[in-house]
Amino acid sequence: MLKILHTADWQIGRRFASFHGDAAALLRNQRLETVQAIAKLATERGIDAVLVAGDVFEDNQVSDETLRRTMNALQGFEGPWVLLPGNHDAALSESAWTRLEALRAVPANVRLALQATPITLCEGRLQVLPAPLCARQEVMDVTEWFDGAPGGGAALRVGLAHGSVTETLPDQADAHNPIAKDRAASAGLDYLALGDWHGTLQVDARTWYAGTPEPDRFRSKEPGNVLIVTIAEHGAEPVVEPVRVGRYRWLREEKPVFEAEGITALDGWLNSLDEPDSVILRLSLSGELNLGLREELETVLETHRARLHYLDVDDTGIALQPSEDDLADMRAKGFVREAVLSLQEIQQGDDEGMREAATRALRILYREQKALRA
Amino acid sequence: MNRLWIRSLEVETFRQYRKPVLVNGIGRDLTVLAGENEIGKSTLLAALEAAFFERWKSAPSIESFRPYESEASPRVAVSFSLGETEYRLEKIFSQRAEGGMSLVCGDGQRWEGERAEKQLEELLDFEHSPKGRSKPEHHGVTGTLWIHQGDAWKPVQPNARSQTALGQMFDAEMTDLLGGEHGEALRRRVQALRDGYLTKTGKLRKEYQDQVDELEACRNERAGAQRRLAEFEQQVDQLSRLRRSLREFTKKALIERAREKHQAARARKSEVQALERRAEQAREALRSAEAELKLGRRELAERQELVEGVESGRKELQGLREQLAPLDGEIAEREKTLREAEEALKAARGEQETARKETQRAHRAVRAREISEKLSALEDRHARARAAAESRAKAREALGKIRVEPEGLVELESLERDLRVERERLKAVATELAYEITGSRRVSLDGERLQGEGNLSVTGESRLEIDGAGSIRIRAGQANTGEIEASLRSLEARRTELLERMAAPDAATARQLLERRRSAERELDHQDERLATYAPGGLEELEAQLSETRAELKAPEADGVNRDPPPDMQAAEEALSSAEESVAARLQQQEASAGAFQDVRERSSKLRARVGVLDEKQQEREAQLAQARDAEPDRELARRVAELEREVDEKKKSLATASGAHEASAPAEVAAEVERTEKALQELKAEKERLEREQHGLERELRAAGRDGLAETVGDLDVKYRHLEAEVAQIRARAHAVDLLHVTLEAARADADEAIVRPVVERMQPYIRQLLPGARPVVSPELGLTGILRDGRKEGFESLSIGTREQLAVLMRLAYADLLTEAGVPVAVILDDALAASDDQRRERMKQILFQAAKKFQVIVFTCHAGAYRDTGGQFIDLETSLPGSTGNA
Repeated sequence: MLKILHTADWQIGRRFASFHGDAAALLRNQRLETVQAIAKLATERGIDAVLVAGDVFEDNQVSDETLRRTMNALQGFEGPWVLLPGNHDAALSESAWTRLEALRAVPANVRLALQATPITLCEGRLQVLPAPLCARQEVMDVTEWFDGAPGGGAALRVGLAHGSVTETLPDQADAHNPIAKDRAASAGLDYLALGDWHGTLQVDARTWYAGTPEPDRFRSKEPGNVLIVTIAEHGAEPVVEPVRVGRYRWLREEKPVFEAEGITALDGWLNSLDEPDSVILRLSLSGELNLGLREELETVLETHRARLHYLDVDDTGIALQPSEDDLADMRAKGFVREAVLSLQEIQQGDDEGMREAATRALRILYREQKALRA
Repeated sequence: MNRLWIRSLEVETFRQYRKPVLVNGIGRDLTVLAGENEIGKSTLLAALEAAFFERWKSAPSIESFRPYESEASPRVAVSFSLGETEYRLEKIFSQRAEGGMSLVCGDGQRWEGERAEKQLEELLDFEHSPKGRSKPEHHGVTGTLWIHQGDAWKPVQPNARSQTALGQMFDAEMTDLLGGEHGEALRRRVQALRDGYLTKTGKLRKEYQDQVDELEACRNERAGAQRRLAEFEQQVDQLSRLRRSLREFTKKALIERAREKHQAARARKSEVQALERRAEQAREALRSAEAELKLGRRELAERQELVEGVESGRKELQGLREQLAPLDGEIAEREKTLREAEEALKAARGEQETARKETQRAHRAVRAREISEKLSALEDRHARARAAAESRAKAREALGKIRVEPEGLVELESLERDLRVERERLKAVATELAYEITGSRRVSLDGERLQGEGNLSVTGESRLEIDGAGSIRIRAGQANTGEIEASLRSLEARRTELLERMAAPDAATARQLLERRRSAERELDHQDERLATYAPGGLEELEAQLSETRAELKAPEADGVNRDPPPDMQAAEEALSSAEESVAARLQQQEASAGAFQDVRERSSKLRARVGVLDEKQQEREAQLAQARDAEPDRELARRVAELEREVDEKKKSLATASGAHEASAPAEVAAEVERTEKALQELKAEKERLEREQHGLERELRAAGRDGLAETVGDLDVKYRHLEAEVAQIRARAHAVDLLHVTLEAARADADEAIVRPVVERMQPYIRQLLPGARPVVSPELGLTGILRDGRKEGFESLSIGTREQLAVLMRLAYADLLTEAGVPVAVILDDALAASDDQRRERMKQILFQAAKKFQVIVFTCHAGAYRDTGGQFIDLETSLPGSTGNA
């Protein structure tokens, strides 16, 4: 019996351009911390070998420092690691891998699967058939050679590849680097460990995508896991256990906001989120508010911005409707009232830029009026 | 209806009015109060204002209203009605007990003092000044409508109270419309916000523009890093290609195979080269045999040539000798002919010399004759000239002896005349002595002996001595005898001197001498002329000429040729010519003969020389031939040459065989193959080296570049760019919003302003249409008239003419009054000479307008132009007649 930890798509060195300030730096660092967590988990769970199914690095052109730090992060597990080049870090003539070798930074227990040749581990009990990508995009199925690879006797036969299993993945999946969906069967594999798809996904009983251990986008399904695969013997069906290791939760929510009650409800929902400092939330708001309530909403959002790791609000769906109360509140009489009405008219117009400007103008006017009154 | 009607005004001890005056009968509608300047129209307006608005206790007012140097208290009383109610208002301006105010209503109600003031304020909506004299702003609406003399042309600006009153009249929400102080403060804040983001011209302020620039810089930086990354990736691909290519080299053993091919080609080439060498050796043997043959043939040809030379030399010598034999006879013959020709030439030359001498002699004879003729003519002229010269000399000599000059003679004759006169005078005074000496006694007068008888004249003092008898002293005549005698002596002395100078004994001789002198001078002139004729160049020159000619004549005679008579000139010349022709002919003959002689001699000597040379050569050739034949006889030589020819033929055949073998081995193709395979091998080696070099270079380069983590740099720059982009978008959005707010607020404010002034504009429009067709009033939010719009152009109030300004100012008041009247406020419009600068046409229109307006409210016009305002259609009050004794009644 062997216990294998299957993971993929670490994409170390990835930047998060749509995040401002410290949030992006924290997200970047977290990926390394998650790798450390995987090493720790492997040790704790007595794992025999860790297989990383491609895209260890975000790009072949990550810095030497990133390369070294990644190797350092593996220290927590002293068993064998097999690192496979994916489309982000393809085994090109010059790559992160060649540089790692040149730097002599690869620890002894780490195997770089740069060639399509079997790797035998665990005193001959495990035969890993790697299918490294030697180009960013391969047109042919690089796992084809598994079928003809000589058998390892009683050793477990495990494939390690990075790409898209044909006719299986949802539409948005990459059409490059195809992998035959019956490869595990045709090559007589006990298990086929795949990478590229960022969510944890089972293709068949012996074929799994581990998904990225640290989520990095809103649209992935089931990210944040590694798979602990237990195989009793050659030919036995593997037992696959997803284990959560990711820290951040990437959430996308759409919420309607009408009247004061809407704001209260939104506030309640935000308060209900667990571990708020691990939440990355993209909130799309819609509805209609008067000027006073719009300011109130802003206050609520500011409060949660400070609580959550990151809060991105798209409020373009909120219509700003100054009420009679607003106008009274603003002492908007005479020409000021006329100006408010003009801005409201622009808000109803066709020009999106002008609509936005009018909404902002109304909010500024409201604040200025309040400030004057104060 | 609350219409105000000022009916009458009473004034007493008020400024120029010391005695009471009453202006009565003021009409309800339009009233004109006309009067000359100084009559006190402005005082009446001041009195009206005082009655309504001034406090009676106000010291400055009292002081201002009192007549000059008067202590009396000014008094004003006004009767007016408001609607149907009549009032009488009376004020006595004084702080004394007599001072006070009363307001009496027609219904009998009466107010006194301060209560009366309050009541009046309420009735007419104004307030008294809290202290001192009232000012226009205290006059409320009414004050605005009363125009003082000289103020009409000033800009119309209602005071605050009337503004409010006016505003209240037509729109109770005016203050709301303007937003009040709060609205203004908001405008200021928004303006400040806008200015914080944008410049006056609507561009982003520098601090924000800097961020936009930073964004742009970041975009460029990111693009640069992306480009570098793309280049890097291309290089990685290139490295892969290189490695693939190099693997091909090893896999297919490209270089080894090329090397084998090259070696095979080179072996083939060696074989070809051996064949080539054999052919070359055959060619060399042939060349050498041919050279031998060539030498033998030449020797044979030389031998034949030598034999032929000996034979032909012998023949030639013989021919020459035959030519030489007859030449000696010809030489002797030619020499003889030459000697004869020389003799003939010598004879002809002798004859020519004789003829020439004869010709010379003839020439000389002719010449001697000519000189001799010339000499006799010269001698003749010389003789004549010498005669003239001699005569001239004689005349000159004679002239030199005569010393009488015509001037001296004139002087002498004058002296003679004077002497005669003086002598006559002396004779006249002289004492006549008649003597008759008879005795022997010696009688002498002044030493001169007298003898016989005679007469004597004694002048001066004389002594008559008689021997033995003593002497008698005679003193003649008168006292001046001495003087005359002295003069006489002087004259005589001068005459004597003159005559001596002239070398003449007396005057007659002197005259003869002068005559002779003149004759001599004429002779001199005559001889000068003759001399000039015969010897124009002077006698000496003539003599020189003469001696020269004589010498010339003498010369031919010296050679003695002239012993024989001279020959005839023509004959001599003809003889000479013939002799010369003869010499020429003989000379020609002699030259021809000499030439022929020379020719034949030369021919002979040349032939002789040639024979000598040939002879020598012939001997040499014969010796040479003999020597050659000794060495190799002619037959031996011919045999050897034939042998050599056979040898050459054999060598040619050998060469053909060797060359054929070489050509058959395709040497060009073999050489090309060697070249091709060598080149291919070199190129493959070079290509491999190049690929390896490039590979190593790229590996080094990529390894160095990879260290920097270009992808992470691009990622970082992307983060920075997106962040900046979001910030700039925020700035732009906020600036846009603030600008929109500002523009919207300002537009709303402008609309509000327009709404506020609309009622005033609407009331004024009908009046303006009558006065200035096509013009519209421009009214400020404070309800002041700031100008007019004419032909779409704004004309500021200040830019209009004084006349137009005062007319518009009146119209503006009428518009205010319209509004107030409509609102039930009692108003009256009073104009004190307010249209002074208007022309006739405009005044007519204004009269019509005032008449119409007065149907709505009371209008009172003070004017000094009675004639111009008599026909307004309203009440006309002539102040001159209605104020009896009012003017100058002090």
